[in-house]
Amino acid sequence: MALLTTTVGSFPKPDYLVKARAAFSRGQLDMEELREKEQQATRECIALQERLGLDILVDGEMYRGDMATYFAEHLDGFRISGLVRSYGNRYYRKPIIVGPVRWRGPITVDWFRFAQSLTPKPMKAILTGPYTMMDWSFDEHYGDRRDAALDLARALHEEVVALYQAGARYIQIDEPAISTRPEEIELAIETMQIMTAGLEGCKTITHICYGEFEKIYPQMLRLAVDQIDLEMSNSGFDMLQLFRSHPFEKEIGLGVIDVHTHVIEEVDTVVERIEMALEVFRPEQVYVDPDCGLKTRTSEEAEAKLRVMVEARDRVRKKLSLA
Amino acid sequence: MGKVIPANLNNYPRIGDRPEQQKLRRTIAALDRGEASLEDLERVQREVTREVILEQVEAGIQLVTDGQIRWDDPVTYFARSLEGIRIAGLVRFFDTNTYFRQPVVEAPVRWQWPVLVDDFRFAAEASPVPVKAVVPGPYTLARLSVDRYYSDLPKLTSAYAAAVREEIRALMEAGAQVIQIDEPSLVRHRDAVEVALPALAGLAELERSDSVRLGLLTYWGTLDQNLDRVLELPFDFLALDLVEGRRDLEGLSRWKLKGKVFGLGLVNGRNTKLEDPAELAAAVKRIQDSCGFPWAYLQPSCGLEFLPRDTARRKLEIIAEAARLVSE
Repeated sequence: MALLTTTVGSFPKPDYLVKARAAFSRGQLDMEELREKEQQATRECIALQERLGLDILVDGEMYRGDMATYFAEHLDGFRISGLVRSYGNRYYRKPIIVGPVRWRGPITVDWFRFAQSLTPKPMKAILTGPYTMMDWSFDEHYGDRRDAALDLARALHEEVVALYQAGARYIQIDEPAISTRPEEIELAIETMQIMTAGLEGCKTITHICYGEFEKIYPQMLRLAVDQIDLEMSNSGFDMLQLFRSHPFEKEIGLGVIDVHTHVIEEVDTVVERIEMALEVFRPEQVYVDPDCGLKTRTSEEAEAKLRVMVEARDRVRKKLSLA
Repeated sequence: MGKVIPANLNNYPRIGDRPEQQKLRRTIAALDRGEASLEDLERVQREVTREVILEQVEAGIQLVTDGQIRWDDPVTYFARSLEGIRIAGLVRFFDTNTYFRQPVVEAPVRWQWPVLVDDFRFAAEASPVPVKAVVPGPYTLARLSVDRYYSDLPKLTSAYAAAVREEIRALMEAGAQVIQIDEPSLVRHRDAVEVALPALAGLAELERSDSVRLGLLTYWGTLDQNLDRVLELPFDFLALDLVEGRRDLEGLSRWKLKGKVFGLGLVNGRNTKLEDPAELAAAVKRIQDSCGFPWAYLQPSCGLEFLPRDTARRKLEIIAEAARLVSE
């Protein structure tokens, strides 16, 4: 099957869940009630993806807040900081490494099982990678970035193995921070090697946000994954030029939908983006998805954008007489 | 022993974890919902500015800033007032997990009116100790912009420098005695000094009274081989990040007893781990021995807004305590 469609991971949280999370943090709602709302939102998210005809589904991350903090809360060796600002009026709590980082038990496995039980389609398991966890945490314990990243990799690898044992055959390790510090690409390669060891028959993927790719290409092809998922539309597909200079031998998760704008793309625009990529990639190398997680869009925008994406993929398939 | 003045660097956390420290966040959210007015926001910004100034003073800081409570990010607050600039989408601020809106240069860059003067006046009135005014540096502004007009980095840097010069003049007229030009990009590009030096030299040579101290700040890296050329500029002080840029310490010794004044960024502004005041004081004394500065600022390595509010305050207390130990 060529040109399979998927998404990067997060979906917008419905209003009732946003309210429930706020009530929970104020102590006005108990864990069980919050869990119910999260499950309801997960069910709706999976039903939406099936309705849209996506090929590889995600659980929508309804139970996660910040992508680094969520995992830190469930690992040994972390404390969560007070509020720090990310932009404008947005604040988040940042992880602080205060001791040796260890896996104390499954973090996302129950959610994976729950999500997979709702659909016959393959469910992608997604976790935040060790390099990004290290880069986005305060470190009061290790005092050395590599030591911290390697311990994180060992701890998170146990989560990966638990997901694999629970049946996950698509595992995505998000490493948005990789492209922000090109000088540390070797460390990111080293940690990824640990993360994806021993996963026979499992498709491994890493998602990297837009950054200084010209400085880490082609080294980034040494990341030990089958597929690299990239934010392509936000950068006007500039990266294709790089991939012409040195062949991109892995599969590519091709971001064809800009998640940072309210504007819904025209189907023709997305068709063009896919066709441009097919000048460089073989169709079976390409997975079609949005640039990044959809959680900052409204539910309506996310749905409309994904509908355009699937339709564009269908048109390209038809044009090229692909199965 | 040269005097060591405990100082804040530039920004400071604008909200904290206690409910009464959240009013700015709540007011902006209410404004977005149409439930608060711009006057409400103005009032709260003033209150919070006053609070963070007093917090710095209570922590023992002798040179405070207004905390840049009104700044959207380190670039936009100043850049959006300039002619020729349009503010575009969010871009990551260096290697942090924070963002700024990117200026797009579409026509000649021109200074139109003072942006920071009212803020300075307000802070100076609110503060019992001297207030430092902070302006974004021309090279960093140029590096972080999309240039659709000059298509030439030195020319754009020089255009921004002309605007920054007007702002500095206006600040001096308003009575600012300590003015700092923030240039984080200076430590990030190999050609930085070649491109930035002429523009920075123009600023360093600005005519000013003897009581005014005009200085340059870099952070998140080292100047390395460029250190000497930057120190040759006639600024009144050079503030360095001596956590991530600790390699520059060695170079400072070449300037021993040449009357250079330094801002010693020895307290890590982007890690919650707390420094030990005694160790910090010892580090200052070692630098004093090797560089022989007439006096220096002791301060965070970068803006404290990257830390939670309580930790930021603790860091300032540690700076004040270390400065006291040095002077004993």
